Amino acid sequence: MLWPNWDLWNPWPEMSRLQREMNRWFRDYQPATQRPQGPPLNLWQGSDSCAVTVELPGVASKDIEISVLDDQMTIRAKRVTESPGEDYAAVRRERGSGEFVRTVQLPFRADPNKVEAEIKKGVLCVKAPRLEADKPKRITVKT
Amino acid sequence: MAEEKKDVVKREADVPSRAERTSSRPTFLPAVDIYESEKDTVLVADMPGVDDKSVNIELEGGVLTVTGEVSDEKCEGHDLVYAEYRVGDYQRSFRLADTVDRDKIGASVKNGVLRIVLPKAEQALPKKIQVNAG
Repeated sequence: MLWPNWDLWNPWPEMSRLQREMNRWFRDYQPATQRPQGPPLNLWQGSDSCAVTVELPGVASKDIEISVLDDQMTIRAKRVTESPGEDYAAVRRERGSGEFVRTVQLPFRADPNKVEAEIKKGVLCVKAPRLEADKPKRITVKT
Repeated sequence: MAEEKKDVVKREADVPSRAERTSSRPTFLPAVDIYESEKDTVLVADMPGVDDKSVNIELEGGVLTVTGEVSDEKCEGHDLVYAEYRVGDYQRSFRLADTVDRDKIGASVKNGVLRIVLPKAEQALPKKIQVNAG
């Protein structure tokens, strides 16, 4: 009778690999409640500054709060979708409303005194220049 | 009953069958709130990036089509490193009821929100009928 040749095919490493993969899949899976709340944002990066854009239609500039600390930018906004009048009944409501807070990790430390924010046509654009002290210094090599 | 949806992802617009879009930019369905009263219907659509010059409203054969053109989002000197949303045009069509007075439809755009007011036609307004005694 032939004994199985473990050099050809061994099921045990295969099974432990499967187990590791399952563990990894369960660990990385994020249930719906953990998804970021609020409107999605885009992050832009230049050589010395970065910018964050968020689509916030119908939000007035007074309802937006932006704060910057080191390399973290926190954007807080509130939107109200109210009916046009008392005698109106809502037939369909797809637009979200409410308050949202989002903290973004910037690629470098930003200068809070030079951050500019502008909302135009319902799109908020926040430009944050890099902090002077954070810029890398060139080191000359002496020969 | 009106259902409230909390979708944060933009929905891609449908394309009529047997036709494809010629541009590579995506076209999205704007989120819409519809309110109705006795006198008119108000339609509010979220279209960030659109102003009164880039929106187009057409009424053809009882179908109201709203199109909004959005210019490419660009920050000078910056590259996009992380994107959670895409930028594209907006399009959505609605079939109007016969009760809408087609000549008096009004629309305005503010902060990327389009508001369309559709007044109901005179005949559709409820009329009080006088009841005489005897």
